Amino acid sequence: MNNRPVELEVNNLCKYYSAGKKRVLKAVDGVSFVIHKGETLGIVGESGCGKTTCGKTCIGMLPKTAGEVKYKGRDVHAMSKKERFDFTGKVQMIFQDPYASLDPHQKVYDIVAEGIRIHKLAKSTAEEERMVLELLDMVGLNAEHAMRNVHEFSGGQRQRIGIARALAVDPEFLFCDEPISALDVSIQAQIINLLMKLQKERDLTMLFIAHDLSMVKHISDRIGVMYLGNMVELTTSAELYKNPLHPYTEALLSAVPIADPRASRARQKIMLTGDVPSPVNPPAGCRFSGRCRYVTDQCSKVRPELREVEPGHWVACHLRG
Amino acid sequence: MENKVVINENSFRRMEKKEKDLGVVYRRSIWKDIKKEIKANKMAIAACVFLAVIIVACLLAPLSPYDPNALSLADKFAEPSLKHPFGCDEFGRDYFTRALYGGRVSLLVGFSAMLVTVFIGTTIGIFSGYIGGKLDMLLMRFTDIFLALPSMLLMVVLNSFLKPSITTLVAVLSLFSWASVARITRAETMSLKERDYVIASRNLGAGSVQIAVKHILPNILGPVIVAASLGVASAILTESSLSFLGLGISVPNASWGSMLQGAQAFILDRPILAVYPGVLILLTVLSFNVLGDVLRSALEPKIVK
Amino acid sequence: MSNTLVDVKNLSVSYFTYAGEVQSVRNISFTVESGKTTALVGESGCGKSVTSKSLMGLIERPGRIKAGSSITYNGRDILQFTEKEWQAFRGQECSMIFQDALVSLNPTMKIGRQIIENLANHNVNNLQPGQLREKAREMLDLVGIPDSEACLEKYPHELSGGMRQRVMIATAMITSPSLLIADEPTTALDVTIQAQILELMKELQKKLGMAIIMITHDLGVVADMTDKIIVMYAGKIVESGSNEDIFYDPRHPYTWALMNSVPRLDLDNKEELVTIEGTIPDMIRPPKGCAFCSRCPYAMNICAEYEPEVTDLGDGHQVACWLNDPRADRSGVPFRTGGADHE
Repeated sequence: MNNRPVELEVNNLCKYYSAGKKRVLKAVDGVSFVIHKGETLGIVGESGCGKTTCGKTCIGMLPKTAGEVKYKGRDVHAMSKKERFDFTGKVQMIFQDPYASLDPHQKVYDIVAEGIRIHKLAKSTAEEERMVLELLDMVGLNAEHAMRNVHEFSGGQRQRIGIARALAVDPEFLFCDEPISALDVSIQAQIINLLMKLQKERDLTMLFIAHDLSMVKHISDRIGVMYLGNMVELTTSAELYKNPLHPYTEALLSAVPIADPRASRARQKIMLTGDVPSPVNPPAGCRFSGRCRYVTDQCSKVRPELREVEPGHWVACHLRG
Repeated sequence: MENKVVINENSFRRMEKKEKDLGVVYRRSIWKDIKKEIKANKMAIAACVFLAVIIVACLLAPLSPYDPNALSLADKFAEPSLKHPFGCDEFGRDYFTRALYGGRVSLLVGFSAMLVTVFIGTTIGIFSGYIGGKLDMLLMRFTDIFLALPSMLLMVVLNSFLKPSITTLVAVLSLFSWASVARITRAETMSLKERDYVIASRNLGAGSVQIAVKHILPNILGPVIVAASLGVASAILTESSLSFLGLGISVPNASWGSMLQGAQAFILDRPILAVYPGVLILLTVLSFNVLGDVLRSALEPKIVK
Repeated sequence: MSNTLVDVKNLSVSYFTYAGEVQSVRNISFTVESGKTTALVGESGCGKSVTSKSLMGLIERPGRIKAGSSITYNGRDILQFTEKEWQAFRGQECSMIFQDALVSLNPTMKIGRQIIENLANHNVNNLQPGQLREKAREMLDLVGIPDSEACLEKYPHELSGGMRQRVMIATAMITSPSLLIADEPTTALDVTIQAQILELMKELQKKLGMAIIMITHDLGVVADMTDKIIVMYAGKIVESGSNEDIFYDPRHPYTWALMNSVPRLDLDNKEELVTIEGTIPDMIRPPKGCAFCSRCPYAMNICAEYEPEVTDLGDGHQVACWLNDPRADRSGVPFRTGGADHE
């Protein structure tokens, strides 16, 4: 479907944490996917499913336990200092909490200019100034805001500043870690529109992590659904909604509230029983087997692999073998 | 509320939007917060005024017509008068002038010891907290040793070996007080380095030194300032104690502590001689403590929504 | 018509902070019918939580309910209550559940004791300790907690987020109050758990017949569970009406934008989302005219000068917007406007 070159390739990525004596927290356990140039891949899942850990490991912010991540063919976790520095100029991140992600003691100008200074992108102060103002304009702020302190801004404005900071180094890849979940509904749409506009203008590749399925569906080309450290389904966003193949995806979709009482009443709801189990020493078979309504004997014994069951539609479930 | 605009045809025309409205912006600065906090607190105002007066007076000490160390047996134990506001001591030296010169020594020792303490403490704290791992372990055990030592006893021992001077005093005082500052800055640094904005900076390719200077240091300034103001007070107190034990500044030079020690011999005849330096120490230390408290509450992170 | 349980008239609440008087709620009036679900919808800072706190007598300094406000509950003026009357009222007549169950439950007390304590404080029927415990267990069964007997002996941290929220609902409902206020009860939960809790609240209402005031920022959450929706913006009610009215016939640009700024999962659209530019106004200096004026794409000159009056469109559908005035410029407005008589 997408014939452009592969930007990020993730193979069987694992990230474990030690949780005391002989107990292993498998935050990410064997996740594989690729992201093509100019594409937005959304990853959704409930809290504790490992989606943020997965994203952070993919861009080398966290060391991996096993597997490999390649950015344009280079191993993200085995870079020299020089390579790593160049990598930071190509891959940037948008944070979840707009209050924690900006240094409270800095002016907006200095925050946005930080990347330009570190990567020595401006030849003179005048050029730096021009670049910063351009960036601020791009995210919908103006020159008057540049000399203000960050604590003077609201959440949505702060998120814009964070986006400007990330774009300052002219990155090609953007990792968005739940960039809208801390914002008000009316502001969320502003940020989503801004990100989509910027992606189009700059041909960005994006990895977008969120728990809000409707926003992810809106912004992503393809969506991966994670459950307890595993990728259970991966396909285009339209296909995922129309034809969810994994029982978890099915339940997740039916639980998302729809702001339309008639449509909401009309659709079939699949109520999941129980809670997400702990990722510490998870079951050997399918992670979802304890809550699945189609569970068979095989499910609790053998872990299903992520397989391409229809063109471009990957799912990890024994039912769809 | 009275509206002056009359409703007419034009009222129902679509409004023309001028600037893109970015909504409310909140202005706030650390200095404004500190000012506000001081203004709201009468004790703090008193402390500031007192400290300002003391510091200015001590700086202007050479203007006094008397030599602080010159003997004048005629004025021995002179009562407080216009000529000698605080009276004279057992050698007939003007007590007021001596108190001012003594204040110079006490404040100088207090401030220098504080500066050295904060410098060493902050450096070690940031290093230890930011780099972490084995270095952190090592540095912190080292710090713990200094925190666990009976400092007063060791200071007495050290000072009796070393030649008494302001430099030795400052060195000895700082040696035994940097550890608590290091502890505070380490804890702050450890929590700061996990903050998203520090991670963002690292993601932009910033090196450790850049991050420490640009993001860590400005953000630990609050607790460091507080520790510093309390540090001055405790250094003045310790200097006084050492001088009182005869281990501080060498005679005939005065410091508040050594004046207190001198007055000890005449405590029954001339108790007033002990009162002057005693009260000065008390008020100065109290003022610094009050100031420290005010700074602490002013610098506490407040959320402006 | 169903009977009115709560009647709020001209409620104004201000917080007197060092920056000035924050007018959190500005002269709002609404009613809550017994046995029905009413939703208060709005973004953070719109005054929806403050409104609910006023109903529970939980406004504390520096906040103050201003003179001229009145809240009538079953015919009694609750704003005149003494502290003792409040205590009897809270928990027994009216209970509240919060967003974060972990901070609302006492971490050092077993679940059983917390539920029993609430019941014992309002022990109308003079139940014996054994009976109290039995009742608590029954309540846990009712809110769908498996193995309720064991749960009584657990501490809050031993339960998952969804289970804790169930326990909180059990604690709130054990005295069979006639009003349950739910302040963003599912915001901290995952979608699948959220669906469970919403379903549970619906079931409980069917069984126990209490009225629910649901406070939320998410219109989707209340879509299929409320009878009436009140949309708040900057301390004012901008629109209120039945569920159908609000979802299928919004008359206020804020309500309309709120609904269209969230992409619909069941529709296939990739165009730009409707946004509300700017941010909420400063409630220390609320704007002179309509509070939404500065962010409204259809604002007219009058909007900046005069507050729009509440227009009744019939069947309890009320809206406060100048666009519903017959003289208004309605070009390009994507939703229906105009009073009932202009149709």
